[in-house]
Amino acid sequence: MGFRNLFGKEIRSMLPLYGVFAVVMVALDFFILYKSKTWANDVEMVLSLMIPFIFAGVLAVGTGYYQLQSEWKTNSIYLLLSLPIRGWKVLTAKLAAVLCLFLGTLLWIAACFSVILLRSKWGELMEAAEPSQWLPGLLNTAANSLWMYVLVVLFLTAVSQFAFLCGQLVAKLKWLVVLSAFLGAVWLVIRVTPLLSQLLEWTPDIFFGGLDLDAAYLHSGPFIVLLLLSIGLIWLNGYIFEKEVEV
Amino acid sequence: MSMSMSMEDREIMIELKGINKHYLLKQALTGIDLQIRKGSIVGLLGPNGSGKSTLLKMMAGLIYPTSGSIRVNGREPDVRNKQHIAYLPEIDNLYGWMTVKETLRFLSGFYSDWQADKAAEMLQTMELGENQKVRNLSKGMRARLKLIAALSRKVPLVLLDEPFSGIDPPSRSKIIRSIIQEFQSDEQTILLSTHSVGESEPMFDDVIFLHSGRIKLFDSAENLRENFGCSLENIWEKVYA
Repeated sequence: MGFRNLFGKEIRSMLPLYGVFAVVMVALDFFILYKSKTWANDVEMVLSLMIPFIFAGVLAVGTGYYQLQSEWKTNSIYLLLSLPIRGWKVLTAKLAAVLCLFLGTLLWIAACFSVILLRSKWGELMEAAEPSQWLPGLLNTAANSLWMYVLVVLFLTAVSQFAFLCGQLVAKLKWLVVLSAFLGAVWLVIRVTPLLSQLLEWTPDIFFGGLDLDAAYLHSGPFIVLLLLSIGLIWLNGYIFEKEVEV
Repeated sequence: MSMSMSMEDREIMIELKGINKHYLLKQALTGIDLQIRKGSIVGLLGPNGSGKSTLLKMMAGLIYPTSGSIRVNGREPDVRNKQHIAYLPEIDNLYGWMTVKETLRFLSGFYSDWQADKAAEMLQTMELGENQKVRNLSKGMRARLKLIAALSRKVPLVLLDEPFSGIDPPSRSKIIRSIIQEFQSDEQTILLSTHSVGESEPMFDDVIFLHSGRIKLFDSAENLRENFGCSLENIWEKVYA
């Protein structure tokens, strides 16, 4: 009940921001549709899909940091710290809310692209090749890219929470500590992941692509390690929040 | 306040031994030894910066001592202990974007001891509109809302840090009457810090006078009045002169 309360509170507090982003996406896609006669397809794809997807990830990571910063700024941290709920649950509720809104945003971007832009080019696509030839590969690539992207955003959001909490442990030069903690954590994971993933050589590979397209087999080890490190970092963040941070 | 048992027979609710709290450039608390028994309303008095808020935060489990031991309700202040403590901080700690109703509903989800009827009754008594956003409430109204949040729970320990701050004098009397009315003397302990000594004096069973992080005086209100021959408000002036 407590976790659900916190999760609902986080979703409600961030909804206006993501709502504005959703409206901006619709406006952007209509603008691109208006310009589609003069712009190349690649430019449309980059502006309507790639850049918004990347921006959504950056927004999620930034929101992860901002969630904690606003608790301290508005003094609602006093309320959170006096609740009978473990630190990792408080922070996981925030992470879960960010990820849900992030996934929702990605779906919205894809839906806007499909409904506003892709619809006008659907006939061309059908004539170019049979859907059965390209659809399975496209779905495989999209699904694999999605979970990998979500995993990276989850990790970076946990790191941004970690960096903020490290900043709260010092009285002066907070920004320096925050930056060092963020960069240090990312560097450490990049260094450690290949070493640890060697222990997971027995795990299956991930098939990336389609049968008639260039396919890649990616070792799942690094992704499992990244997931485990993210879980470990969430636990560490919860410990720092509960035991070390003071107000 | 009359007791059915003598103070010595009552269990110890809060025990502090050799508590020190040191920040980067400041010693907030020094050598605090304290035992507060169940079933009393204790006044925590002292000027600004004397360590009252630090002491209450420590009991609520928001901060930890640099050295010494603290036991609240028989255990160290931790997450599980917070289930049995209602803490009202001095600062505004509520979410401005929530309404009054949403705030109380949000808080009720964390506590099995939440008394919805009592909260509704107090909302009416304190004349707070349910649908008002917290950020649109005046300072006094936010103070009342915090008080409702703390007193709507049936807990063995209630910690109130400057609960009357920002509240007009007539409302303070109403709140004091409400605290005394709701106080369950056999099961509950209230620790209250305030600068409004005159108004809250009738409530106190015991009083702690803090100064520069140390306990200057700790005794029953009755003994202090007898020994000093004056009210607590006048004792304040003598202690901090």
